[in-house]
Amino acid sequence: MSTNIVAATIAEAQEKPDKEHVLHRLKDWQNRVHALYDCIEQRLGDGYTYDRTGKHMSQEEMVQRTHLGSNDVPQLDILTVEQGGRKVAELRPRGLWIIGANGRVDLIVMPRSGGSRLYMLLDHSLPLSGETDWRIVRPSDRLHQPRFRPEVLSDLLE
Amino acid sequence: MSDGVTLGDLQGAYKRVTARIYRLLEDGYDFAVEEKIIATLDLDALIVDAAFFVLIFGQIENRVNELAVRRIGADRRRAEALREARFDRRLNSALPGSGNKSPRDEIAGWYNIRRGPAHGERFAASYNVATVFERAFQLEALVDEQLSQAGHQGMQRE
Repeated sequence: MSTNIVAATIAEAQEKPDKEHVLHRLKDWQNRVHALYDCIEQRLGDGYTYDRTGKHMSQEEMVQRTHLGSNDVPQLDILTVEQGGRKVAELRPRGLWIIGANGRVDLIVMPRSGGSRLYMLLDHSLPLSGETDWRIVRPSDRLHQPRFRPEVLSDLLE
Repeated sequence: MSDGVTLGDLQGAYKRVTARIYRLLEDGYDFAVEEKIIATLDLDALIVDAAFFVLIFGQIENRVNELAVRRIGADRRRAEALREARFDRRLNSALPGSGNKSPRDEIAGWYNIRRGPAHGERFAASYNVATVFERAFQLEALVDEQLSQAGHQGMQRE
């Protein structure tokens, strides 16, 4: 197993996709994303309300190549954060199979000051390592990928 | 034709080019949360990322070629013939033996992934170019170290 995320994801991209492995990856992806949401909710606290009824289902190439049906693919929640009846943030899973990352979740914040801002959360952990290493990335400064600390989210919402 | 482009040059260019594209993407979220606009801008970004992956690999390939030529102590004619040889042959000449298996396999993996966009075939679904650059610098340093050792041994033979 590779010790760096680029080598690991490149190696995986060259393998013939195996249904069991793809399902394992998708389940792990679901667990990591939902754990991230739990952590965000815990940090933001009771001043906000949370809705996870929106769902995302991967239709990525790996899923299609292994002919997984919609009943097989684990659904991932889309997390909507509201305050006083107004939507202030949304977290939306974007993709799992990325050369150089272990999944991406888009974070769209609608701060009190107006407008919307897009951030990407990229996991730098090795696939199926049982760990996470979330980084927050401003799309216009993609090479700067500091660690994501959920407590910074309340600042972003101001 | 310009020569002497380095990974650092590519990194600077990537930072500037993507800042422009992604600022548009951020504005896309700002002014129209229309999935079609976002998808178009995401595709623009994917094309740029794939192009940079090809360029980044070109820097590693150039170092591999240099090392292969240095290892076989080739004259100009043989050196040119080696540069025309299949990549796996050049790679095996540059990084021979079981001790080099891991970097050799990794670089061969990069070559396979870069073939898709370089030959007008399929792209990877997505790239995290920040970690790709990070790893490319490490691989370049590894090949440079062997280049320096090979140069030293060559001088001792003379």
